[in-house]
Amino acid sequence: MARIQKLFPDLYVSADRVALAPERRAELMTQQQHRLTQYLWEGGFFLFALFACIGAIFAALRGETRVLNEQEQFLALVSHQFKTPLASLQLSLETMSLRQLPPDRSKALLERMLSDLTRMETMVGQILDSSRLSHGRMELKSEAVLLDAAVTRVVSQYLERAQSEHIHIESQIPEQLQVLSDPIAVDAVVRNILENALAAVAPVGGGKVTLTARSLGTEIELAVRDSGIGFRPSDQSQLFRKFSRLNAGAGSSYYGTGLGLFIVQRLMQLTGGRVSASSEGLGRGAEFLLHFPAGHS
Amino acid sequence: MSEPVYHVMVVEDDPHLAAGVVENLRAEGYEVDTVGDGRKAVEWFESHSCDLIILDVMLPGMDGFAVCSTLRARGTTTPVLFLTARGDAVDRIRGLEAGGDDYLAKPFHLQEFLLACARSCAAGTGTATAAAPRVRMCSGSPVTKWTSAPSAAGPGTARPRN
Repeated sequence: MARIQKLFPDLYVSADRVALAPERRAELMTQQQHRLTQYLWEGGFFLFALFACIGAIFAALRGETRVLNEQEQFLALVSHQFKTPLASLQLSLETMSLRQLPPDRSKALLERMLSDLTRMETMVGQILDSSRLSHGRMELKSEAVLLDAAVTRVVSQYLERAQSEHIHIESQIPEQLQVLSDPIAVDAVVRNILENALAAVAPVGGGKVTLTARSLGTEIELAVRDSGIGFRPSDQSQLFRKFSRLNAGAGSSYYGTGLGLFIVQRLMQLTGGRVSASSEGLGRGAEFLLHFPAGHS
Repeated sequence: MSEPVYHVMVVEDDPHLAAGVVENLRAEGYEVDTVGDGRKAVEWFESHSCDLIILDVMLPGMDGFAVCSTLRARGTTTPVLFLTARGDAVDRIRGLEAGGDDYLAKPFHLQEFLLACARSCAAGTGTATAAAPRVRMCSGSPVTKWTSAPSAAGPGTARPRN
């Protein structure tokens, strides 16, 4: 008996039964418990990792779908935008080829066609700009730019169009004001904000666009007010989104690609500035405030 | 028997395209009115009528489909020709469902457009046989003379050609 006990130290051997020694039993139980706990943790961790991966994959897929959707929307929108000036061009050309027109009518048609071409050119420029801005491929300088000169240059290019649409553009900017930005970015920002203002005023049959600027210490504020269609205050968040074209009920589908204000906002962000917009409501005009870092104090 | 003068309403918000369409229709002898806003178009029809409506789909105020169904709901039976950049099947179906009679996708051909107008006008007034050879530019030679500056001529000043 003692020999058996000696052979199996883990066993408790008595005359009528053989059992596991209590201490050994307790030890085995503890081991089992530990292993169980370990499996639980490991299993839990792997499950967690698995779900995390699935989640990440879903998020990536969804992101990709969103990008694809956006691109699809972009293509649809761009092609739609191009069809109207194209239709106008085709109509003018077919009119000229099919009818005998007096010289003054031919000239008017030619001018209309040139303006359609300019429109398409502007749209192409905007599309390229926005795609460059979306992908962050744009090297921007940071230098002192004379705001008045920059604004005057852009405004002069729009005077003719503004006049034909009965819009009065007024620019009152202190000559010496300088902003710290990229000259091309300033030009693009002013151009797009002016395009937007003109497009807002044209549907109401004409009106006024006013550009004023003042120094706020470390910042220069350029305010662009128009007497156009305005927008609902609730639509403010939509305003700067890519492709967002608020069909505000009074007309805004003229000329727009839905990219202008997106470009303005991105360029302002990239050059250390910001832009905000406000309107008292539909038909009550709008005001855009552009804040540039000051060129020198 | 002189040809009837058809009255066309052009609802198009793009000023260039509207001007081109109006000039061509006037040169063909139509009487033409135009508005650039969906809601204004609906208002116009409260007190006016015409023989044909040229309707853009993407309009400020109210889109072309809504304009068309509003007019149809009021009992207007005037033929509607949709003229739009959105030329896919879904939109064509929507246009026809809204009560449109014909659908031209931009950019369109001038001759095709004028023929569609002539056909719709004729069908609308039940004078299909009399008005069938209305468009005469199909020979390819410029036969239609631009008689007056159409932009200066107000609605109702256009005369039917003999």
